[in-house]
Amino acid sequence: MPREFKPQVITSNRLHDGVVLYKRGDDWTEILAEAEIYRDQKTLDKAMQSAEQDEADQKLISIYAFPVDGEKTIPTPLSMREVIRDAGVPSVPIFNAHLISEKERSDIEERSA
Amino acid sequence: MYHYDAFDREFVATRVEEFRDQVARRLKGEITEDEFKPFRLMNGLYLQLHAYMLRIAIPYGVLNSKQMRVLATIARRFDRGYGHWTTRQNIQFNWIKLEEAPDILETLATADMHAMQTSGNCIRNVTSDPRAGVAHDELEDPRAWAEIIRQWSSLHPEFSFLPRKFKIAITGAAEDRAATAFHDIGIRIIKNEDGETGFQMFVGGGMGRTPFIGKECRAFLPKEHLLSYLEAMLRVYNRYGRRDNIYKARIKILVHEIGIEAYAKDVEEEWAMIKDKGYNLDEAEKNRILSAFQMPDYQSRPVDEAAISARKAQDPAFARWMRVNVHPHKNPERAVIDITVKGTDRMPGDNTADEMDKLADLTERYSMDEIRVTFVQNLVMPHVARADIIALYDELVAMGLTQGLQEMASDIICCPGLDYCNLANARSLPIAEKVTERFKDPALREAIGSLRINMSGCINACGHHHSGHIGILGVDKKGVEAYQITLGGSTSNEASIGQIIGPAVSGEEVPDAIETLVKAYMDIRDEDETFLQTWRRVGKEPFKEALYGVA
Repeated sequence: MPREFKPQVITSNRLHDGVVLYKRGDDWTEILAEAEIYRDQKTLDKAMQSAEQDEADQKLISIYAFPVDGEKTIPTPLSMREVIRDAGVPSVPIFNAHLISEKERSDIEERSA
Repeated sequence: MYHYDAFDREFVATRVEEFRDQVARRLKGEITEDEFKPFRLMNGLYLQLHAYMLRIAIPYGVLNSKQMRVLATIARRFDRGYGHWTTRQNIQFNWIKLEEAPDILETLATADMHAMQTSGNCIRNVTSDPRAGVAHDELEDPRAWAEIIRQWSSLHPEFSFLPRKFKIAITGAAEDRAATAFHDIGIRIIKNEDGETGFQMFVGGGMGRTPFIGKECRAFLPKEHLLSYLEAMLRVYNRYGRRDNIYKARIKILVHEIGIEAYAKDVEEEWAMIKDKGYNLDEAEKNRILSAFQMPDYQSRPVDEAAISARKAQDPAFARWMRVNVHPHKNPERAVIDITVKGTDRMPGDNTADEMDKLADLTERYSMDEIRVTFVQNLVMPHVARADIIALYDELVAMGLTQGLQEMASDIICCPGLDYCNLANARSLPIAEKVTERFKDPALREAIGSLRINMSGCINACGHHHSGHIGILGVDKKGVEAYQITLGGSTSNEASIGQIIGPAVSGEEVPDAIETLVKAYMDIRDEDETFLQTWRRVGKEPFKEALYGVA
């Protein structure tokens, strides 16, 4: 029996500075909330082909797709790894704690609970 | 300490320019990531969770104030204002831009530093005893030999593409503070029956998914043969080490599979062919390097012991810090000071750029311009006059760097885990944070005594969980972070690998679990018995019963 398809988002890192990117249409965004959710294998495969072309064009590196919550319209990662990656900072207080917003912190804490 | 000569500087400058060209070609799209990746790894540049990460080599953990200030500059100018001391005496920065990496290497070169040998399947940065050269229990300063090994291994053409990474540690002291048992090659400086000093060579130790304690490969190696013997050890590994399976490629697996006798025999045969054929260091070069590690010219600084005693009497925190973080020195007027980079205000091993600058000032003023990084992610000032101890302590209090008590609960070794690392399965830093909070009372920590808690966020064991008296390993259980607890690990002379004591617990349960284990130990310990001694006396059952109840 084929496995149930989980909606996915495609991500990568920008080549020149390593910034985390998410695929949106033919382009990329730094903001996960703006990312496109691929809800079936066919659209995911097509988007992945486009992403791989961007990689071949030497714009970015380390492309992969990760599952998000299919019930939500805003991309919501299912793994802690992607929650932290989206926050762009660790889930612990750091010296420059002002860089992490209250919302990012509460998202991580909610996810940990 | 060793200072670069013109040859060393040109060597590093050439590498910076080479990498600048490689990065430029990569950014122009002239080379692919597959082609570029080996080049960036040869210069310590990884891709991590948030961005690129740069790991900078600190050979055997030794820094001067100029180097510390350059690290502060890099933190401030190229990263987010702080750096992380690693579990192999290096430092890493977490938000590096590829396009700026060549400028960072150029900045490092101004202080005779680089990022070579911090990644890839080469001989990595050589580590050593953070009290090397000044420890009261030392037979001979291992730093000169570490430097000789560093120079021999840098871009060694035959060993630049080993089956897997290769780590060497060396100590010259009676007490092993360099974790030599957990290295691919561990070297201990010893005296033989004839009173000659030489090396006891160990091989095949390591952590990771298959931990092993190193085995003795040669009981005594005359000093003049160090490089030819290392050459032979590496050649046998390079020839027979597995390249088909990354999980079985370390030398520990080879030694385990063929046996230490067979490995040592092959090494002896190889060595016999090369030992007298110019593979060893010539006398002049050896003496040039050895001469860089003379004891500093200590000015006599009579100490007012009455003032120290009076401060101890009125300030319990100072008295405790003196008992725990201040160690005997070869020179009775001096002391070795442990600065624990741990506490409720920071993640293990993190210092801000401002702190690094301040530490550089203190290093210049109080420690003959030398500071060391330890594999437990702390700092050591090796040359402090006892006459300056109170002044230094007050400076460190003002910086918030006296919270940690060395080798006691909350002096935790901790990898960056899922908060930074691409390989991690679980977070480690929030667990370290909670455990630190739980044991924040310094009187409680001292009452517990020596207790090494180590934490890794995945089986690669960068947080040394295998060698923790209490080890915590983060695992992913169907998408949920869980934590396995091991007991009884140690990097001491009687090194041991921790044993799993039962099912994994959730992250929230870890502090309670550790507190339960500590209480169990305090209930059953004999007088003056450490946690490790109690564990070795009573074994797993009392701890298992305390944590999981009777089955």
